[in-house]
Amino acid sequence: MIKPERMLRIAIVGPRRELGATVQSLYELDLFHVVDYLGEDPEVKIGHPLPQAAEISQRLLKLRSIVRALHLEEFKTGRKVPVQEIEQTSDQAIATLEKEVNKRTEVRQALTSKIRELELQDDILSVFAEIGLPLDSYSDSESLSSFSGTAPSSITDSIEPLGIRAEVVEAPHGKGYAFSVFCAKKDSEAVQQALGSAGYQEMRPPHVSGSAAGRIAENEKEAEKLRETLSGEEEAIEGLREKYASLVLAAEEHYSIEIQKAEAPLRVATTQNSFTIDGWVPVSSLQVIKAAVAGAAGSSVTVETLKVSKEEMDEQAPVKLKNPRIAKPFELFIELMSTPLYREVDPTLFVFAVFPLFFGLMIGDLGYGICLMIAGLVMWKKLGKDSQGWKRLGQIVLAGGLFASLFGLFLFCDAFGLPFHPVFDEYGTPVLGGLSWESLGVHVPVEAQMEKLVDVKDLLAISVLAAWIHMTVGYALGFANDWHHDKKHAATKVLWLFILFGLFVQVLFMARGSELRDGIFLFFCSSFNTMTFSFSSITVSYVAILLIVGGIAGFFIAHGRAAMMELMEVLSLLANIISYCRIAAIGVAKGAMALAFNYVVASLMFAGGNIFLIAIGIFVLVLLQLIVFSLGSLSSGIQALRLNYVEFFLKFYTGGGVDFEPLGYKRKYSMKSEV
Amino acid sequence: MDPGLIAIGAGLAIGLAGVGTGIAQQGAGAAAVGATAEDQKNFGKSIVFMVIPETIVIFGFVIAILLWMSMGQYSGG
Repeated sequence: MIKPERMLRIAIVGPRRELGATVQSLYELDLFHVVDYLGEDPEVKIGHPLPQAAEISQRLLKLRSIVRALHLEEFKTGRKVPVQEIEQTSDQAIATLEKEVNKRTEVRQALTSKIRELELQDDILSVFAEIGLPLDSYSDSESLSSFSGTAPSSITDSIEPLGIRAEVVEAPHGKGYAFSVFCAKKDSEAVQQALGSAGYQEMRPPHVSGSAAGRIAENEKEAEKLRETLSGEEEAIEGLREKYASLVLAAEEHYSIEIQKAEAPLRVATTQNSFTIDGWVPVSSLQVIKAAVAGAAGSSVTVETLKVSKEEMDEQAPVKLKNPRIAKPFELFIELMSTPLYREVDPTLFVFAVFPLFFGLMIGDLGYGICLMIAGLVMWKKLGKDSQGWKRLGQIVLAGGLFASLFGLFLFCDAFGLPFHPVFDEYGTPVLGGLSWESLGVHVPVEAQMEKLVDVKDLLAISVLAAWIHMTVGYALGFANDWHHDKKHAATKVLWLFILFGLFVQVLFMARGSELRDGIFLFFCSSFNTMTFSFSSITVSYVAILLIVGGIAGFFIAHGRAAMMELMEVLSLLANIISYCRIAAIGVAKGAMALAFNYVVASLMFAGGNIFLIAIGIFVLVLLQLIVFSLGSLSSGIQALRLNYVEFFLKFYTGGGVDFEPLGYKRKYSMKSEV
Repeated sequence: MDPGLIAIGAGLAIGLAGVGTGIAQQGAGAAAVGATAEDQKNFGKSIVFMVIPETIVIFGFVIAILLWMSMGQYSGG
């Protein structure tokens, strides 16, 4: 149950003419994980693609070019196209469509670049329009040179000191000047140098005649005409998109699947007359595969189970997680980390049991819990329509929100950071003036078992208890993982269990003082609660010391000198235990933040009895609540996950297994027609 | 003992621990973002490395809470 799906290695052997039918049937099943044949045996060759592969890839090439040209990648289609309809669409039709699409997109491109060109020319012409000379005056002559452009300051000041005959025409342009300089050819070098040091930007006049302003108007007219034609083309392209998008996308998808099937022989060993497909199937599906292959390819193709050594199995078998439906969403967290090894325990069920609990404890608020459940439902039902990730995340958030609401309703008795009833500290003074739902006139007939802001030590004790239970399960799983693999490692896990319990007991001895903490203490330590000594005002338990020292001694017996390293790890185990205090820490910090915001805003809001102030107060309060809600949810989620990943997984998890990737496909745009 | 001093001690405990966590996280965080940008699959591991230093501030929190709770014994008089 808590191990991944058990696998069998099989070989499917048959005559080569049946390869296509066999591959086809395996694809339909979605159950067979192929082990690629790499051509290890010179007698046995890697197979050739099926004959239809070339034709299909031609078709795909055309379809993909249409998809790109029409920008269909993000297109949302309304209907799924039956495969029959796709196959009836002739190559001729696809080719014609491709031609039309290409023609139209080319025309569109030509128009866009022509418009762009005109706009650029207008930019230049506007400078010459400011200078005001007719454009003919810039035409080449034998004795005259001309320079035109823009400069940050007046050019006349740079040309005059040269002491040559030159004509400067200038006009203000933007922050600087637009200008033209005419000079004799022999002086052109000196002028160019002077202009260069003045920081000018050269502009060459376009080879057109007439006045610049007139030309601009003509260009505008032409561009307007081109834009009209362009919008006509755009409409035509949009029409093509609307008309053919679903068919093209469906066909692209269908032929992508077909090409995969046609190229599957590249992963298969073949001789002149036979083929062998090597791979893994779940034990439970062996009969299904046998029946399907026999049905598709007849009795000439046989399915043989291969004998695999245990080591090979542990290393190479692909991992398919197997969990009850309710725990499935939590496989997301395992995938985020790393696929477990085939021999390892699949921790999904434990994460499923623990994550919502930790998350709920950290949030522990009826209001936020309900908001989280709504958010979870939205992620699941709305965003999760197209995305498995969102769907699973939504379900996880929903579960977390449920626990947060339950803890909020029955344990902490608060909603949106506001307690149901006034809270009193240990001296009987009301906390924050007794602000509560009751003081606002809302009466909830449930009494809090624990106050976040008063019973912090109790919350810490619960965290430590959670630490002990969680890590004990972790070490037990580590023991189970190692037992068949390495007995010495397994024994070490038991020693760690002793040390963990020792540390836990010692913490309990130090943490007594309230009903809850004494209750936990007596539950675990009642049989040895007097066996203690005092060390600088700390009560130290002999049993705890015995367990810890015994465990460490065990390391030395098992590992000799190498145990020095393990000794250091005892300290990190203590750090691990304290690390669980984040459950209390985040709960308290978030609760305190929300209560403080509520208190500050409420006391300002009702201070003057001013409607305007109240309206602003409500707005600010909603904003602040949103901050607490989003920050709290995010950090609670990450921290609950971290406690699983770091404190829990590191006790037993190796990961790095091979994902089970069976031959198969998912259709999004097309559908298999019923025959 | 003056409860004010205890309060300062509690504040220092969590404040300095927070600074320590911040210093430790800046490196881990930058590397984690880099690794995730390179390959989405690294996200899970990145998160783990990223939040490891947070334990330091939890230590500070525990000490601060213990100090804060012990203030009661001294503030009565």
